[in-house]
Amino acid sequence: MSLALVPLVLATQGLAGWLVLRGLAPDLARRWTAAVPRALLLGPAALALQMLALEAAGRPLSLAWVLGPWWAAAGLLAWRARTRGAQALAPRGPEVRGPAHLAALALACVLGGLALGTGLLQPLVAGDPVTNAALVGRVVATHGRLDAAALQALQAPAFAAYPPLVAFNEALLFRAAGESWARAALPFFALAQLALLLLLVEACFERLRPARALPLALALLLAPTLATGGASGYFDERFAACVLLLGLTLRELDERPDAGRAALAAAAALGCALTKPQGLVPAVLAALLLALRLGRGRLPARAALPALALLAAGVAAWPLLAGARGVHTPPDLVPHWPGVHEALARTGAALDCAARVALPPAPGAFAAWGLAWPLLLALSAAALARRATRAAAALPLACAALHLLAYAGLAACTQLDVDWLLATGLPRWLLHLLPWLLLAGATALEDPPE
Amino acid sequence: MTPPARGAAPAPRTGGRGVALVLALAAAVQLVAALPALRAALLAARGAHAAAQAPEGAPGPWQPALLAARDLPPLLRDVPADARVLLVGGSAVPVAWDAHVAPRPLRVLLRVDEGLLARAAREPGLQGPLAAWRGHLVRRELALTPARLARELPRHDVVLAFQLDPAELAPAAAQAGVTLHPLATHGSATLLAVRGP
Repeated sequence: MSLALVPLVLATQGLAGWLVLRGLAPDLARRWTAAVPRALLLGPAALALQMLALEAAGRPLSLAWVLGPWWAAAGLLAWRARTRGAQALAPRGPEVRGPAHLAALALACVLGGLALGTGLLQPLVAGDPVTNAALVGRVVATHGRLDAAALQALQAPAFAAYPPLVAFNEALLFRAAGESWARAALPFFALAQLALLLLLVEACFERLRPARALPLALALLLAPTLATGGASGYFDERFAACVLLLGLTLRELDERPDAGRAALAAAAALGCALTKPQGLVPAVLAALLLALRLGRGRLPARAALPALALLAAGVAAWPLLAGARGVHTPPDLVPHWPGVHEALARTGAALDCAARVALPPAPGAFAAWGLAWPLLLALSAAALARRATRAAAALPLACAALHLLAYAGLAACTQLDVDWLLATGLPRWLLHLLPWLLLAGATALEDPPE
Repeated sequence: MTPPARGAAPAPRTGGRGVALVLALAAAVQLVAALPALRAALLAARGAHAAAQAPEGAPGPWQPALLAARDLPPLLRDVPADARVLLVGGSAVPVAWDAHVAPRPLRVLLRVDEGLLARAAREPGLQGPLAAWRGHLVRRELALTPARLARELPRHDVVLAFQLDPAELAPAAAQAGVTLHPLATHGSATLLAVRGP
C-alpha cells in the first residue's frame, strides 16, 4: 500500500456521500454548492455504518470490501443514466447566486485549501486525535477487523469505545497509506472543514439578500477559530458541520416534509452521534423534533417513522457492537453521578465558563472568535424581538439552549477535573453551538413578508 | 412568516442599508482579527512540519511523539511482523507506540520521573489528566523497574531503546541471562536483538 491510494479512499468517501444524497434528496445532489458539503459529511458516516455492518457480519474491513460496492453502485448508476439519457443528472435551479455568493464560496474554498495544505505539512502523532481514533484506526487497519484483544493490549492510552466514524475512516486511510499512516489522516479533517465553511455560506445566502448575506458570511468565515480550523486532527469541525446540516435540513422540512428530507435530517444527526460522544445531544434533539412534527401532523408517518428508525438503529449500532466485542470505555472516562450539590456546582461553572469564553470581555475571546459570537447573539436577540421572525428564531435558539444545558450536565457527570475539562473543551463546545445561533440570528436579517 | 422558496430571488426592498453597513463593518473587524490568527496557524503548521523533520529542536511534550514518528518506522522496517517487541522509553510521555510498531506484539516499559510528575501536578488544570495517566501507568504496569525489565527481556525478540542509552539495559539483561546485540540506531532509538544464554 502507498500514499497514492489515499486519494482513492477520500474520493470514495465523497462518492458514497453523493450516492446517499442522491437517494435521499436528488434536487440537492444536482447542485454542487449543496452536494459537496453534504457528500463530505454523509460519505464518512455511510462508510462507518457499512463497516459496522461488515464487522457484525464477520466480513473483513478491507479496502475492497468497503470501497468496492460504492464504485460498483456508481458504475451502475452511470450506465443507467447513459441508457436512459443524461437528463436525469441535469442541473436544476441556480448554482451560484451572483458575485457576492461566488466571493463567499471562493473564500470558503481558499480557507479549506489552506486547511488541506497545513494538514499535509503535519503528521498526526499525539493528543486526543490519536487517543480517541488513530490508535483504534491503526488496529482496524492492521487486523482488518475490530480486534478487541488487540485493543485491550494497546500500551498507549486509547479511548477504544469512542464513536467510530473517524476511527473507521482513518482505518481505511491507514490501510491505504501503509507505513506512511501518520501523513494520511489530516486531509480527512480538512475536507470536513471545507464542508463546514460551505454550509456556513449556504446558511447565509439561502434566505438573505446578497448585501446582507455576504458580510454575515465574511464575519463568520473570518472568525479566527473557523478560518484556521481543520488541520489539527480534532473532530469538532466535522461535528459542527453535521449540526449545521441538521439545522438546515430541519428548516427545509417545513417546506418539503417528505421521507427524503426526514431521512437526511436523521443522517445528519447520526453523523453527530457517530463522530463524538456529545453527538447524542443533537441526535436526541433531532428525534424529538421529528416526533414533534409527526405528532402535530406536519410530517407524515411514512416519512417520520423510517427516519426515526434509521436514527435509533444507527445510534444503537456502535454501543451494541462495542459491547458485544468487549470494547470498553477507560475507567476514568466512565460517567458518574457526583451528588446533587457537586453536580449543580459543576453545571453552574460550565455555564459561567461558556459565557466568559464566548464574549469579548474575556481574555482570548476576541482572538478566538472576533465578533462572531456578539454578532450572532445580537442578531438572535433582534430576531426574538421582531414578531415576524420570533417563531422562526425560537426553535434554533431552544435547540442551542438545550444543547448547552446538556453539555453542562455532561460536564457535571464526569470524573475529570471540571476546570481542565472546561478550559480544553469549552472553546470547541462553542463551535458545536454556533450553527444553532447562526440559523436563529440569520432570521433577523430576512426581509419581512410582503 | 412564509419563507421564500429555495432559489427564488428575494423581494427587492429599499432601506436596510444600515444593517448591511453594520455587517460590513463587522466583517472588516473580523478580517483584522483573522489575519494574525491565519499567520499564526501557518507558522504553527510550518513549525510542526519542521519539528517533524528535526524533532530534537522541538520544544515541549510533543517532542517524544515526533521523535517516535521519525525514528521508529525506519528501525522496524526489517523486523518480522510476528517479532515480539519490547520498547523501553526514557521518559513517561504518552506516545502512540502501538501505532508505530503494529502489527508486531508490543510491550512498553517507561522510566517514570516521579519528581517531574509531582511538579507537573502542581500546574493548574493538570491534576486530572495526570491522575488518569498515572492510573494507566499502574494498570498496564508500564513503569520501568529492574525486576520488571529482567522479567520481560527473555520474553521478547527485539528491544527498542527509545530516548535511553542502551547500555542502561545491560544489568537487567545480565540478570535475565540474555545478551542484547545492537542492530541499528536511528536518531533517538536503538534496535537490539535479544539472544538467549
